[in-house]
Amino acid sequence: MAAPESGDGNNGAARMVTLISSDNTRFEVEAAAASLSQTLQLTILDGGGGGGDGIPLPNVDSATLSKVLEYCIKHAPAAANGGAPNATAVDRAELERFDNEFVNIDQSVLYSLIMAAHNLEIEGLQSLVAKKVADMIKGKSPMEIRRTLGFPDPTPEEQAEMNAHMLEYGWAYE
Amino acid sequence: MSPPPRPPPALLDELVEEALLRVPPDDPASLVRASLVCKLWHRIISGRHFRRRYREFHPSPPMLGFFYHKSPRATRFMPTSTFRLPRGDRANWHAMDARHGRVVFHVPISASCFSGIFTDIRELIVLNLTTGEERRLPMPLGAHFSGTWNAAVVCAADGCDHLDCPSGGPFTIVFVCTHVLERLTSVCTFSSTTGSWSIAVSFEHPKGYVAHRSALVGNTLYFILRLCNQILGYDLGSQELSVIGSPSLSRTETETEEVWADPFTTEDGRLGIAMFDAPKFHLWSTETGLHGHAEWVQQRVFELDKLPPDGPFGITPLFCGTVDKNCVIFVGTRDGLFTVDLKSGRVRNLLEDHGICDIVPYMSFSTPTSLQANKLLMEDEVRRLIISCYPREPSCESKELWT
Repeated sequence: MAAPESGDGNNGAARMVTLISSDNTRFEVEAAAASLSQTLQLTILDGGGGGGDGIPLPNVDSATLSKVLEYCIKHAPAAANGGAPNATAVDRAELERFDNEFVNIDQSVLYSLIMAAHNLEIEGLQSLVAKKVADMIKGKSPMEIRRTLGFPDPTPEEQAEMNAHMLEYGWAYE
Repeated sequence: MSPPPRPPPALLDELVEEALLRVPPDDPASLVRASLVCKLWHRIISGRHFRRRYREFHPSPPMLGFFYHKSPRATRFMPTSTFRLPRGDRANWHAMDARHGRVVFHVPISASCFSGIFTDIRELIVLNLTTGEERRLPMPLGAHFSGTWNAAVVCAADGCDHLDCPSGGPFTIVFVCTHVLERLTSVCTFSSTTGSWSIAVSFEHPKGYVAHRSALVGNTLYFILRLCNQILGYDLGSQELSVIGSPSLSRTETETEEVWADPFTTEDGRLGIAMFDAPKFHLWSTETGLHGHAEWVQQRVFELDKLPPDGPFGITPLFCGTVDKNCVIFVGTRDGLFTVDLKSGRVRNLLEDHGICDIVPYMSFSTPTSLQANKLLMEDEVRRLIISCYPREPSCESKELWT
């Protein structure tokens, strides 16, 4: 990927920054989109990420970063409007549709996204993946949740505790 | 097939609370089951910090279900969420009020009427819906019921903002009784801490009687006095009575025929009153006027027959009920029981049963507390639960526990 011009916000052109994934792929993206990340925001405000330098992200691989940036690019305009108080119902519905489809992904991708959203501190994405995990919990038994989320089988001690707890909340298993 | 990838443990620990916060409050069963996943999840969900955050994250407590009277003697609970009562239905118990994780019932000797009209009361029972604990109360001294009465339950924990009432904490019962012959209404309170009733305070009025619903606004409980266009307020702190006028409930000048009216707490924490004069609903709320006196302002009028066509609203409701802050109104008709969401206009058919004569909605958060032995479930039930919960055979250790 070509190194971007160091946009200064002159001539009305959006300023671009370059992000470098752990496997050395370069991503050129508008500063406004990348700034959804609290982690990157200060660096970008200080003028970093422009020119041939780029900001290295050693904890995020290219597949995940590509997905993260897809989210950021979609959400940047609304975020620029301060949470989009003027957004129309159509805009909001479109973002909601995008979000729903965005997290309709394999679990391995979801976990990478969770990591990346956490490391890059992207609030909206953190909230979105947390909601996705909450949806995955819904209606499942404790064992099913454990298996869905890749926990090992419970130890005898854990299982005894589960049994004791079911005495207390039998209604939740009806 | 390869097993699902294990999420990075360090991250999951941080994410777990955020995910659990987003379990909808009308699905408390999912939270309970999640609390069994592992020690960390259990510690998070049953911890005070999480309970507090959960209540702050969700704007208002959901309606978990409602008690309804189908015949003069029976109260049943109909869940509108995944919440279930700790035990089954209580024969002969009449639900009067539900608030702050508790419900107050009365057990009548006479089956002549519902909800306290000319009924001889044997006792009041307070059921804690979190722990299943029951507390039976003696009746107030000198209580006689040649009139109508009402009982309301409130959490009495010091400084509680009622977002997260302590489940085993103290409570107060407010008992209001109109003595028709004496032409007065008296109020006394029962404190769970002292186990005794207070001395009654009274208000004289030439006519009218207390209706059987209440609304808690700040620290004051409000009851409608029918036939006299007045609302009685009881301040739980000062234990004093106040009386304010209500919008006119009369349909005719003789004031013998009144419209249905119900007090409620508005979203912004003021006293409201919902009135139904077929086919129109009138919603009023109080505002402080020029001289500091409460004044009624009509907030909204809507017609039931202009709502979406899936409700049978050509028929006069047999009764109505409001749900505090959630802007939901119950409408009982000959075709069944419906709720109307005043914000969305959504109509929901809860029961097709037509014999229902009263309801007590139960709004609350329900998050599990830490492990406690519970003696309410029989061992057989536990075994069934274990089998339904675990697709495979219970381990040797768990078998030993239950055989």
